[in-house]
Amino acid sequence: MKAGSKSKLNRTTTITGIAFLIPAVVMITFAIFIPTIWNFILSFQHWDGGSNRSWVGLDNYKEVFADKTAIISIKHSVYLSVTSTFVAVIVGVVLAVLIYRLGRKEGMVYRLILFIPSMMPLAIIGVLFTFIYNPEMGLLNQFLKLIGADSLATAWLEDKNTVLNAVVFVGIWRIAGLAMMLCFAAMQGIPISLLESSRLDGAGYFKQITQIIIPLIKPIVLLSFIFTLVMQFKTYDLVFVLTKGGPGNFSKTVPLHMIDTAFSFGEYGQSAAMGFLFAIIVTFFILLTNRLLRGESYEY
Amino acid sequence: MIKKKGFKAASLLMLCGLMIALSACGSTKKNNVDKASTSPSVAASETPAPSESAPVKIINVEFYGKIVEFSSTDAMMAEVKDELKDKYKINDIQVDWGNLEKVVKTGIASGTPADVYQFWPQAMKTFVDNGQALDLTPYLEADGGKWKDSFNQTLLDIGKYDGKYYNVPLASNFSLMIVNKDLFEKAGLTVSDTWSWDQFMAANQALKDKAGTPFGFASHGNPDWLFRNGIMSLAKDQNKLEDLAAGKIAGNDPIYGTTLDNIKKLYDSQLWYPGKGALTATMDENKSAFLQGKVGIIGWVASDTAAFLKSAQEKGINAVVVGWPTMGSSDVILGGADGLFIPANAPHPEAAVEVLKTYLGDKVQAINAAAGYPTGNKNAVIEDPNIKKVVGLAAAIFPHELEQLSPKLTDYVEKQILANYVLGGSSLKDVASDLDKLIKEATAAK
Amino acid sequence: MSTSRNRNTSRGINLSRIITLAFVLTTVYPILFVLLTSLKSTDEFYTNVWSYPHHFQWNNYSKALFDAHIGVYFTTSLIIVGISVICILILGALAGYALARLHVPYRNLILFLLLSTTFLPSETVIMPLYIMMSRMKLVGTYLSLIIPYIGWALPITIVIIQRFFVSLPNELIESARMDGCTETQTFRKVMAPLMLPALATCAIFSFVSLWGELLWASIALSMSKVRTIPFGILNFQSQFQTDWGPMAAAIALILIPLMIFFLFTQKYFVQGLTGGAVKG
Repeated sequence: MKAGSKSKLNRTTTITGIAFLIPAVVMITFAIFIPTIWNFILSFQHWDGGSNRSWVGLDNYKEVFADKTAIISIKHSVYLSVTSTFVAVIVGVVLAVLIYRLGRKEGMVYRLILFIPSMMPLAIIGVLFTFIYNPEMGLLNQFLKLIGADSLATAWLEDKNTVLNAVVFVGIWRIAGLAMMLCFAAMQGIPISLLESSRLDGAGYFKQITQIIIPLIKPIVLLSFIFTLVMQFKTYDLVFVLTKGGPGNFSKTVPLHMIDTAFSFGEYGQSAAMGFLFAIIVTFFILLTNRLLRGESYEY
Repeated sequence: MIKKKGFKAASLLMLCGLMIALSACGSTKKNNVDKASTSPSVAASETPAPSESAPVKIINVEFYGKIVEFSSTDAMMAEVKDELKDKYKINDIQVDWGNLEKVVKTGIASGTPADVYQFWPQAMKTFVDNGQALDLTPYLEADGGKWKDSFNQTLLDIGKYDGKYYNVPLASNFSLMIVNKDLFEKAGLTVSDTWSWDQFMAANQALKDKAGTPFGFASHGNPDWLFRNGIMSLAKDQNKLEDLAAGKIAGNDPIYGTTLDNIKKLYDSQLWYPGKGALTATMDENKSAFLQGKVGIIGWVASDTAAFLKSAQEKGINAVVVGWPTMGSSDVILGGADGLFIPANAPHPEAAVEVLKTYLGDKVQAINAAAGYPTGNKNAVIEDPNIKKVVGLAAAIFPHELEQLSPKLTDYVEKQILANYVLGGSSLKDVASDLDKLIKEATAAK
Repeated sequence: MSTSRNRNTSRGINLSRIITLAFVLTTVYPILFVLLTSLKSTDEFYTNVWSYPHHFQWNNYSKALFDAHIGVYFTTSLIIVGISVICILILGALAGYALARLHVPYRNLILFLLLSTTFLPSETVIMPLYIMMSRMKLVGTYLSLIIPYIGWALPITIVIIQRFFVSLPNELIESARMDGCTETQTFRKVMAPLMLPALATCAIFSFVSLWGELLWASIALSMSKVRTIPFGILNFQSQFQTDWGPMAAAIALILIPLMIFFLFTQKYFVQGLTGGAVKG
């Protein structure tokens, strides 16, 4: 009797669960699954964007590995995402810890200002920074001249040695505020009594940070890492508005090269293949981050 | 609990209301934009069309060719719409140059493209090869070639592939230079319509030394023009222009090496605005450098010459059009045009042809010519002496180029080669092997 | 002892303040630059890029609002992103709850599939999605953005919300069921109020990633006169010339309401996160 009612309960919950799930699944299927399957099939085909479509087996994947630009783009993408994520989240944590100490009103003003870049459309950020990096009248070079470091001034978005880092910096600038907000919010949940008692034990703020605050907000730090990493890996707009991947291939990333391969070169199959290879790389880095930062209490 | 529930229900209700209100307000706003972006006379002429119960069904024509950068566009579109208002309702859509290729290709692939697309006639190869562009030859040659005769033949031929026309020219669009006459005189230079690369380099130096400008030359934002014009001029000296375009000149030929070295010297001379950063300076930055007298020479595009000269005049600058400096002894320039084509799967091809005929016809193009654009229509009268000169320069256009062999070559020539050689430290040998590989791929595909 | 500690603390606070201010400055300066530029003519912009404007060009604002329709773009973006975010939250909450608390079969597989989709670059789906949209005659409409936006942001939302529900004590649901609530009632009466904080977080996440989306918008809206902000702002950069003054004015017009909105909602956002939204 009892067992029967339980299984009945299970069945009703299962039905409700599926009902709850269906609307979301429909949307995701439409926007992601169908196009992805379409693309997966396409990655084994040759298609010129017209009516000619033929099976080519693994050729597209082989071509990706033979494509010098693709390899360079993958390197750039990995460098750009990993560096900008790492620095942005650390800056975010530092900022959160610093602001946590300040007065409520004061902290709120800072948080608001620091969060603005995350709300700005990237197209706008791109325009802004092309002026900061401008070799002749850009803020950066003018500042360097002002402090007498003329020799460091360069065409930031043209120089092979600086262009990628210039893009990385904008990536950090844009996302650090978001990481800060997340960490700050997580810190609000730390009981004051915990900090008070540690202070009575003679712990300084730095010690409190390392021993109490950081371990407690670790789950959210991990979430910031993963969210930012995925976002930076997929970024098209940021690089597009700053450099369009140039000069040459100096700042080309995978999403940009995929668009070129498909729309400019008309090799849609190869572009699709590149997308899947790239997804594998992203997954690898996500798993790696997860492994490195996993806390006892939290699993992503 | 009850309170909370009430609050929730209320907020949900409000949300739904808001959504409906917002979407309603959105659609009215949308209409406003439609109207606001067309001129008032057009809006007026549009209104009676749908309500009339005329026997002829009015066809909607999607016209992806509104060039907002042309000051003549609004007047031209208004005229076209007015002339055809009894038959077609023309939806003129602004050309998004940055995404043009994606827009056209997704449109065609989806099966519901626009009826007319703006696209460069010299870049039609992929569409022609894939059978995605409508062959316009029968329409051009109908009535004893009446439509064909209305075009400047050189420009029309740019859109000719294997003897068939796939694209019709709106205006010529090629590279030229504009110089600041006052600065030239100050530097003791004379302005002549044609000049050699050495004269150009000497002029740069003289401008800096004698006229006191910080730099000599600013490019248009397309530094690849220096390369493309350079190799063509050198190839013409050896009578190899066709060979060059057909990919028959090997990558290690001095034609490429000399050109690249010339450009690298220009870059290293620091006379090319703004020194470091010259390869990535944008069109806006270059233009303002010229208008502020930071340079005495600028590379520019034929179709925007009138507008450029006007802004120079406003600044009190005496600017004059000259030809592109030649690296060889021959005068030849890369060329092209702004043009339009009809996709093979266009919903209303016949209507599209008629719209094109009207748009590129004498009456509408007279408006374009009067505004200072070097029209593809040869009957349009051009009065401005500078624009007449521009039309004269167009005679040196050779429309077939190496980079047209394949999209990958286009990308390599326009975006990679200078960056790799001038900035990236690639050797001529690397460039040669890259070129050979791409040429081989492109010619093998044929 | 105590005084020296206090002095140390206040010195520490001042240090924190200085470092924070340095960061704040790097954010403020570009924004100040936008505001200053918005009052300059394009001419003056090039002659003194970083200086204070000499002649205030207030008509840049009217140009941005009326000639360039930035107000319309703003409304369009707000409607599209607003509706998307609302739908994302509703669908995400239902699905997240189902995956956490209701006995859905293969739920680990479903979660894995959801997560893995977030790793795919969205560039791959442009062509097929455009073809699908055009078959459904949706290209160029608001829906052509709303539907993909919902679909793209849902997986990460579902995962966050699922985590949140897993973290809630089981007793809550059990006791609601004991009281005779049906599953829908349990969700509505017990779960929904508790999850507002989690929803706030997801709202911010999806808002941030959709608000500036450019690539799909510029393809899907190419044949239409509908424009979102990121796409519309590019109108100022035409083939031959950029109008910096009106463009900066447009940027300012976009930023100001956002800042005000965020100023008022910040409290809830922080509460939302502290409410255990993503604590796991």
